[in-house]
Amino acid sequence: MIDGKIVSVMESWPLQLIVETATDRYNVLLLLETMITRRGVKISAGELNPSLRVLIKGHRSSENQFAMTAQQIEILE
Amino acid sequence: MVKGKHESVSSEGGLKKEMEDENEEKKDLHEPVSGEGEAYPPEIGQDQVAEGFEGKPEHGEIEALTGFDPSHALTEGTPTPFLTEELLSLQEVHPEGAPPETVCGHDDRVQVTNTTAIPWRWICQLIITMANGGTSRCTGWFFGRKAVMTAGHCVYMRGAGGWARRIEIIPGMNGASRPFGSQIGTSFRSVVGWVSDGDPNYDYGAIILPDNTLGDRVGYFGFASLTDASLQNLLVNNSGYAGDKPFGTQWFNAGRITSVTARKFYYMIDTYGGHSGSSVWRFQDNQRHALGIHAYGGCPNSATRIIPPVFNNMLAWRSL
Repeated sequence: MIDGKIVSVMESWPLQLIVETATDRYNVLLLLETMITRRGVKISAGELNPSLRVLIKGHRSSENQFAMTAQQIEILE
Repeated sequence: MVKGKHESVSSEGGLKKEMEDENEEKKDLHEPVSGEGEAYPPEIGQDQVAEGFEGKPEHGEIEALTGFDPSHALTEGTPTPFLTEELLSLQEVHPEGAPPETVCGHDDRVQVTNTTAIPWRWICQLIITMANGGTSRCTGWFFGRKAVMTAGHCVYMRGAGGWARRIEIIPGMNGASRPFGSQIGTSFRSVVGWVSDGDPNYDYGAIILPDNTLGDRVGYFGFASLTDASLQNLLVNNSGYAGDKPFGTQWFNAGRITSVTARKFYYMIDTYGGHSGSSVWRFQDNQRHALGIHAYGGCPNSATRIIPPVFNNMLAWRSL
């Protein structure tokens, strides 16, 4: 799980994100089934924007510890 | 050996070997014509332009008549393409009343219905099989007889394990219709700045097709490296295959470049996931030149700017 800020939204489909935590920078690949929520309510991937703080649960790449796929994204406010 | 960030890298073995042993001098048969070198950023003192080609569709062109849909005539006698459940699932459904953030203000995108006409037929739906076996999609555009330009993150996805396995290129796709058919690409290009460093300023790449049969039929964009002054406030165009619209439909929007940096430019043109890799082009004096490769959302949205090192890599990739 990572807690960080979205730095960039890459407009492939599904989206890819660059997320910065306090110490690291992650490449995050969304999946078609990635659950995105804000205050517990499901929202569209189109609402993901740079500068949003997010909590991301997912699986890290075995080849790159700073690459991951997102199972769940919660927008924190 | 220190590599410039614009140094070309290929999916065909060069970079993987390089990353395993950085001290070993690597031979890459597709070395770019020039890299960025030590000076950074390079001066962009004058405009550079590479011309496009309109294409030579086989058996003549269908006249564009109001209300006439040419797609049936183009596909008569050919196997009907089918949409798998996986492809259909790539279309997102919005919660009602929730406009996507990368649509900047009012959503004024319009669907391109005559995708067999120029320049829409130069623009391609990309269906990507990622390194991890999953499916993704982007937009690409022909810039050479067998060269399709797109975003770096469409050919090399760090989160999915690296280079794509294969990409299907479908020019002028229109819903279920593939008026020019499609072609599979397995040879990709990007640059050190994207593949090694993941630097968004170097987010560009290309698909080199096995032959030019498709590109010669549809034609291709010209492209240009323009000065800051030429870019600032310029009216530009964009069209791509958006994930929030019916699968396979192409959507157009236009707007002005609002700001320019050394390697990117920004605009409030409405885009969405799936538009990555699309051309941002100038239409002027009846000529079209791509100026950037759309890659990032966020209103303003942004493109990787075609500057001299990018321009030179594109010339090299175009001639492969």
